[in-house]
Amino acid sequence: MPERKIKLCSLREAVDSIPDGARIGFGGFAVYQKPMAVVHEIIRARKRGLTLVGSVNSIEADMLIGAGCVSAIETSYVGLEKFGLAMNYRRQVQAGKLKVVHYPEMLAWDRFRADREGLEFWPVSCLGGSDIVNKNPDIKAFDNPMTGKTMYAVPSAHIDVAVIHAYAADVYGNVQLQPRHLLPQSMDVAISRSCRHIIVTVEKLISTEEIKKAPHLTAIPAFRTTHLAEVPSGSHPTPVLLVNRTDEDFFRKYVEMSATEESFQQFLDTYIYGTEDFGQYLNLVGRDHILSLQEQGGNV
Amino acid sequence: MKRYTLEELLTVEVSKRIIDDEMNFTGIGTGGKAYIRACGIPLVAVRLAQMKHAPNALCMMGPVLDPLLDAASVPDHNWEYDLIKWPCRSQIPLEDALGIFRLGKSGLAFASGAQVDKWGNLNIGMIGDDYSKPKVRFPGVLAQTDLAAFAKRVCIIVPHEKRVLVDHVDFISGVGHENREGLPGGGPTYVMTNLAIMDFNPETRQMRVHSIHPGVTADMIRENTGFDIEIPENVMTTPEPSDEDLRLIREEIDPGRKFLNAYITSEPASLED
Repeated sequence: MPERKIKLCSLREAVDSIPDGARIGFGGFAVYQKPMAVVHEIIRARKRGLTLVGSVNSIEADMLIGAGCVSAIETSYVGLEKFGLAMNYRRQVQAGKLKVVHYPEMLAWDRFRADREGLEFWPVSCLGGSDIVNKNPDIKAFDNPMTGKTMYAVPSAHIDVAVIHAYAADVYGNVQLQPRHLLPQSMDVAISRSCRHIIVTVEKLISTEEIKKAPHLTAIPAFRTTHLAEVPSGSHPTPVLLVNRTDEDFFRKYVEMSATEESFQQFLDTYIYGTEDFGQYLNLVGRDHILSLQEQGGNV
Repeated sequence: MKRYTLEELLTVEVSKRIIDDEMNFTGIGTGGKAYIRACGIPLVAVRLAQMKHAPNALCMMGPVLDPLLDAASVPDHNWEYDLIKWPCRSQIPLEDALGIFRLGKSGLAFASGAQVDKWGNLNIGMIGDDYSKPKVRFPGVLAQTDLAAFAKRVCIIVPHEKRVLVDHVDFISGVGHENREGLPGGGPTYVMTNLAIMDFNPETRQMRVHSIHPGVTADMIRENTGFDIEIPENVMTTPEPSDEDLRLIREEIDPGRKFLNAYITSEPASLED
């Protein structure tokens, strides 16, 4: 019998599948469960001209922007929530080097819904009078054919690749989420349904037998997944719900080191260019420290 | 010493404006003063209203419906993994949360911003004349555009400063009464600051002073407002919180000041500083 296709690969192989200039959507939400291992590898591979498309973005976007990988971002937010401002983002926008297109939070999700339904746009009625529409030529007004009232066509997210850090998967790319979830996992599912090229990193590999025992947890089945890599703590310093907690110390260090362009270059040289892969980076952060972030009780 | 804090005064005033049976909306919030304005005051105000006159009023905090505000249930931090363990009525999938807005089911929604103008237009996006090269760029508009469009009423809590209360905002991220182009919601209804509570004159559609906080004068308001604000003759003084309101807030709802002084965010603050 012919073998089934194994999606498991190295992080570098996964990242090599992303062309310069691609439109990328990241899973997770705000400062939660961001696919940071892939972000690091994109920086090491010195990808250029990327457009990031999201709803609520944080350190994953700021790091890529600071490393010079990004030329545009379409989102409702780039910040570090309670840790502070995303300084690379702010510096580059204020210098006119980074194009930003505002999409309010709910519309940002609608854009992925449009792709999921195979539509070019999602119709919305909430933009009249705002600069969200006045300053964005990609949003087009049209008359609602039922009522004649003005509506707006918001372009679909149209991403080339979705990147997600999830809980577990088998080698074929059946991806299991935690049984309880909030917005970060909802975003993972939303973007996985909106595009054909999906890179997933997981905390751990499990057997197909285990997948079959709990099929209700397989939110991203193998037919969607194109590349899979096993990267424990692959969302560091952001958490994985019920698995790892936020590394608050590292977030504070990030804020400190992204205060100026020079100090951020030092951050990149130390933590990204100075390490060969995510495992070495975690060694540098400190294995004991990483272990101390594990959720106690551990039952996902 | 004053009998009450500014946070307590505003909380009681917000709670009086909570209507029974309505769903109200706040975000999950970030930290410090921004948390107090956008999240802390609204959550305590809705709980106070539930205890006093509006037992069926609810607050949706992002996707978390009616998180239980009592000393025993409230988590130590507002991290996501703490939120998931916070007893509440429901954790609503995102797409349902969108629908609640769009069906016009949200009553009072809470917003803040870097600028609010006389029309109630909100700006949480950027400062400057050039959209492609802003003088100051803020993190982003989040869900403000949506709630300003769809909520029945919007309550805006901001510091009372000339650079905040401006003649016209640099970027309209939440639409006020200048040009609503048929948006279904009621738009900005109240603007609350450290000096006063404002509402909107239905004839001019512009902001006017509704009540002045105790100890504040009309001149102080004019001096700290970036446009010529209407202050009606015989304008009332904002009533001081009652002893019972203060007792409920301090003993039953928020004894650890997790909400009104943002201790839950590990970045405690006070709006009076």
